[in-house]
Amino acid sequence: MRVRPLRIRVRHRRLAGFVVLSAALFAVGTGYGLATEHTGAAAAGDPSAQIAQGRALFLQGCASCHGKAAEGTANAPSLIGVGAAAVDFQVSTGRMPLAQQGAQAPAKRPRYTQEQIEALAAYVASLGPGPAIPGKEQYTPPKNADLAFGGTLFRTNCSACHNFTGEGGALAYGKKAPPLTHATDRQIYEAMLTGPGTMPVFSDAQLTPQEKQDIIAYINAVRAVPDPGGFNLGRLGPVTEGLVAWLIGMAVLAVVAMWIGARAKRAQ
Amino acid sequence: MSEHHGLQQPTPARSVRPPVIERVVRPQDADPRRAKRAERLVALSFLVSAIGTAGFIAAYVAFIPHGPGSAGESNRWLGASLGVALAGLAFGIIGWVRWLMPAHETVEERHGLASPQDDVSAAARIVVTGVRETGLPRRSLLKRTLGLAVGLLALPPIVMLRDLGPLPRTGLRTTPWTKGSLLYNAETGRPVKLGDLEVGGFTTVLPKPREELTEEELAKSAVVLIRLRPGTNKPLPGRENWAYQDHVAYSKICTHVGCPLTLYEKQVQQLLCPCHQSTFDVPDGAAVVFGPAARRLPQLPISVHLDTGEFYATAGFDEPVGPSFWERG
Repeated sequence: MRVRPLRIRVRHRRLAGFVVLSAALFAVGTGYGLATEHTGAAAAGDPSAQIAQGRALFLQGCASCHGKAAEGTANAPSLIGVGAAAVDFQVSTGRMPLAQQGAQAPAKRPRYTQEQIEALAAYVASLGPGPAIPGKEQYTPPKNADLAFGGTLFRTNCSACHNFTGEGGALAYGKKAPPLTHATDRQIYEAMLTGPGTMPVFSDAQLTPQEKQDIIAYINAVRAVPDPGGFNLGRLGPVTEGLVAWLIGMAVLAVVAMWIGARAKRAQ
Repeated sequence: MSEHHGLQQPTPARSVRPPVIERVVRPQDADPRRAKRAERLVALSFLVSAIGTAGFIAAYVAFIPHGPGSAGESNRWLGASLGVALAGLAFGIIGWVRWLMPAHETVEERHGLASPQDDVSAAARIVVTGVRETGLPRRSLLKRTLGLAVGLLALPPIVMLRDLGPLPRTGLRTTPWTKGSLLYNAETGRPVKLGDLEVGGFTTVLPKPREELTEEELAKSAVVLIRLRPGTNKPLPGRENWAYQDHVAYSKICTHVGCPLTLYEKQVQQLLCPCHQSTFDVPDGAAVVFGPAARRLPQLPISVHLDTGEFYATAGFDEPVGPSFWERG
C-alpha cells in the first residue's frame, strides 16, 4: 500500500520535466522566429538598416563558420571583398548556409527570402569592394543574342567541366561541376563573375557583359532543345545509350535466352 | 576416336545413327488442371499483346506530334505499347512451346566432319590434271612473265604510302609564338591586358587573331593564361622572370596525347585534362601530379607592355609542345 503512491509521484515528476522542457523549447523557438521576422521588417528601404539586418542575419546563420566579422576561419573562407554577387549566388541557390562540411556545397532549397538575401549581400558588400549583384538589364540576354558565338565561348571556357549541353560533370577530389539545367540567368551571370567554389573567375574585362549574355542565351537555347527520342538518358551523348543497350538490353536478352533454353520441369 | 575411324573407312550408314528420343513427363502432362492453367496463362499473355496493339493505335491517334517538342511523348507511348504487344506475343509463344507442346529430348549424333576418301581423291585428281594442262612446268617464259606481272602488282600499295607525307620536318618543334607575340584571346580576338583576369581567372590565348592562323598553327599554339593567387607561384630555377604578377602562361595541349586542357580548378590551381585525367599543378611549374602524362606543360615566358598594359611573350617555347614523338629526344 505504501509503494503505490510513490510510483505515481515518480511518474508525475517525469511528465512534469517533459512538459517544462517542451514549453521552454517552444518559447525559445517562437521567440527566435519573432526576432528574425522583426529584423526583417525593420530593413525596408534604408541602406544602413538593411546592412544592420544583414549583419544580424549573418551573425545568426553564417558567423559560426565565416567568423563574426566575416574574416574567415579554418572551416570557411573570408568573405571580405567577395562582393554582393557572390552572396546572392551562394544563398539564392541554397548552397549557403551549408548543411554539412564536404568537398561540394550542393544546391538545395534556399533558406532565406530574397529580401533577407539582399540584406546579407548588402552587409558583405559593406565589408570590402567586390562585384555587385548584376541588374536585370545586365544579365538578361537580348532577343538577338549571338547564339553561335555564345556556343563557341561556352565550349572553350565552360564545357570541360559543365559538359557540352550544360549537364555538369565530375571534377577531381570529390567535387563536381553542377548541371546548369535549373540555374537562372542571374545565377549563371553571377557564377561567371564570382567563380563560386573551384570555378574560375570570368571578369567583365575578360568576357564582356554582352559575351556573358551570349553564353546565357546559348545555355537557355540548349536547355530548350526537346528530346524527340522519348528518354534523354541524361543527355550525355551516345555513351549512355550504349551503356543502357549493353548492360540492360543484353542482360534481359541473356535471361530470356536462358529461359527459352532451360530444361523442361519433370513431374515426380 | 569414332571420327578418326570414320575418316579411314567412310561408312555413312554406320556414322549416322537414328536419334535417341526420350519423352519427358511434365507436371502439365500428368495433371490436366495444370495444363489448363498453363493454357490460360498463354491466352492471357496473347490478350495482353492484343491490348498493347490496341494501345499503339490509340497512342498514334491520341498523341499527334506537332514538332520535335511533342514527338518525345508520342514516341514514349508508341514504344511502350508496341513493346507490350510484342513482349506479350513472345511470352505466350514461348510458354506454349515450353508448357503445352509435347516435350521430348533428342540426341542426334553427327557424322564425321572429313569428306569421304573417294571425294578427296577426285578433288586431288582435278588439281593435278589442271596444273598439267596449263603446261606451266614446261613453259618457263609464261612462268616468268606471270611472276613479273603478279610481283609488280605488290608495288602500287607501297608507292601509295607516299600520301602519308610530307614529313613534318621542324613543324613538331616550332610554334607561331615568337618574341613579342601579343596574347590574343582565342575567341574574342582582343589582346589580353593586365587586369583583364581576376585572381582565379584563366583564359585561352593565341599568338595572333584566330583568322590569321592556319589550322595546323592553331592546333599547336593554344596557350592558357592563368592568374594565380598572389604569392603562390613557385617558379622553376631559371624561370624566375617568366611569370608576370602572378600571371603564368602554359601550353594548353596535354603532353600525353594532345587534348586541350580546359578544366582549371581555381581552389587547387590545377589544370586537368578531360581525356585521361592527367593533372598539372600550375604553381609548381605545371608539374604532373596525376595521370598518364609524363612531362610538365611547356611554359611560355610572358611580360606586359607598360604603355598599353598588353601581355606579350618574351620568347617562344623552348621545347616542343604537345605529346611525345620518336625523334623528340
